[in-house]
Parts: sequence; structure tokens; C-alpha cells
Amino acid sequence: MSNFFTAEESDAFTEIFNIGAGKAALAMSELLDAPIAFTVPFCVVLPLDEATSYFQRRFGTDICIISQDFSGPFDGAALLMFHHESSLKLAQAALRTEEAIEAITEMEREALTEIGNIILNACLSSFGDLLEREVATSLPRYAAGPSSAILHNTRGFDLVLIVKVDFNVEGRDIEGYVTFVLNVDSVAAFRDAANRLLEKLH
Amino acid sequence: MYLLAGSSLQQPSAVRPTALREGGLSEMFLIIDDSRLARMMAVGLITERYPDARVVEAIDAESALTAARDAPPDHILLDHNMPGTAGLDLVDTLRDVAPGASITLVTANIQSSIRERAEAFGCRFIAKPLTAEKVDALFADLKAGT
Repeated sequence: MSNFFTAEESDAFTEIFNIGAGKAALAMSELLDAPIAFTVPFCVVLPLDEATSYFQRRFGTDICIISQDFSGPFDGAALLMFHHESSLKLAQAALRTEEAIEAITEMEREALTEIGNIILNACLSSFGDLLEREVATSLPRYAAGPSSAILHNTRGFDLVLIVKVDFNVEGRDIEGYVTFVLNVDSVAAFRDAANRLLEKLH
Repeated sequence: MYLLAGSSLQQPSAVRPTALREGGLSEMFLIIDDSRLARMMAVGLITERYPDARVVEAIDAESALTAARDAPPDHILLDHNMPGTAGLDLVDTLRDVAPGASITLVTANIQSSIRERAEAFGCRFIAKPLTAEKVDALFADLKAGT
């Protein structure tokens, strides 16, 4: 990220995302009735093809993504990612069933989509509130399959800002991953917004 | 399409109170949310507390208005981000159809701007997910009629 942002800008981003991740973790713990641990966000800007390789290394070919487009101060997409195994366990936890879930059918898909809706909106709300601008969000979409195919659907994003937040559901071995994908203009807009925020604080 | 989740429909009373009656018996709730999981959670939490409450589910603005016209609800739980008309854009029409009903926005969109708009519309606001504690607090609030 150092090529694109100063250390101070990077620190401001991390704090904004940290607040969002905290809200998302609270919402997730209420939904699943279990403690949630999350890592402090880590931000990196990568070209799309490098980002794709990064996610392939992380998730292999079995990824589940709930995504939501957003617009307002910046345009982009927010993605909540799980490995297939974690998505099965998460659907089971959300549906409060004792039986292990072996496949994602319509009910599980709807449950995962709503989980994505709650978590991604919690993250995105931290932008809007801190910048005093409303962030409009689309309806959440669910996709599953190879990470390369899914990421290539994020058209127009030749440069991506990956904000990595890991969520871990205690006792359930569920690991999730929040990422924001922005285009070049929005990365610049994002930097301007972070600077305005820093000016206010100084 | 809307779904009746509780017991059978009865004629709505001529005067619909905003406050939840003691025990919440036979109150009618309308849950408007495109997410099946969210509706299931809301129906479960309400009927656990008030087994005699009548709960109708709607998946979007159109089905919500049809349901509210058929049997005006006492209390409405309304999602914001839905296909077609957003929840807050539906409030005025819902008030025309069910003028006495309390309206609570139950949404994942927890931005201050949305919360402020909900308050300006005279709606209560609950951040998703709906939990037992949040439903208890809402019911206490509705009973107090505040």
C-alpha cells in the first residue's frame, strides 16, 4: 500500500476499517450467539490479476462470496469470503440446526446472503458515518465456485484495494474474510477522504 | 405474495392501538423483509413470546401493501434494503394503509443517516440481527406506548 498511500493515510484507513470490523463482529456474534474474534484490518492495493492469485492461494478453487456493490463517496464492491467448508458450518450455525449441512441449497444460500448483508453493511457504515456521507448499497449477491471466475466478474476494477479482516467464530472453526474492491478513481477518492478526515483531527 | 405465519386471520379491530396490549394477545404483526432467514428469526422471536400473536410475512413493498390492506397490522417490522422500493420509501404508504400501526425499521444498514431518517419518519430503529434482547426491549417500548 506504501506506493499509493502515506503511512498516515494508511493508519487512517486501518482505523476506519477497524471500527467497521468491530461493528461487523458484534452483529455476527449476535446472529450466531457465539464470541467472534477478528484481526485488525490489513490493507493492500493490488492489480486485479495479482489479487486473483492471492485469493486462489488463500482459498483454492472452493470459495463462497457474498458481495454488495456500493456507491457514494466511492464506488466499488464489498466482498465477504469463506472457504466452502466454513460456509457450510456458518449456514448450520445461522440456521441453528444440530445436523451438519453437506450442501448449499436455497435455504442455506438465503441464510448466507443475509449474513453477508449484515456484516458488509456493518463494515460500510463506518465509512459513511466518519465521512458524513451516505453510502448506498445494492442488494447482496451470493456466488460460489473458483475464486478466479468470481473475481473476474468484478468488472471495471483493474486495481483493487484489499482490506483483509479475518473473522473467527469461537468453537466452530469458521473463518471469514472481508475485502473491498475499488477502481482506480475510487482509490484516489478514498485517499482524499482519508486526508479530509485527518485534517479534521489535526 | 405474502404468507400468514401465525394463527388464522381474524377481522382487524376498528381502532388499532399503537401500544402493545398487555400480553400481546392477538396483536397482528407484519414482517416485511426479502430475506427468508430474517423473517424466520423475527417470526420465531415474536411467537415464542406471544404464541397467540398473528404474524404475516411479506417479501417486498407490493406484497406488504396487499397484506396490510387485507388485514391492517398493529405493528410492522420493516427492512430497508429490499428489491424495488426501499423500506423507508414505503413508510408513508404503509401509514396510509395502516394508520395506527407502529413501524420499526429492522435493518443491516446501520449508518447514522438511515437511523436519523427512520426517526424523522417516526419509526423505531433496530440494527440487524434481531435478537431476543432487542425484541424484549421493543415490546417493552411498545407496551409503554413510547
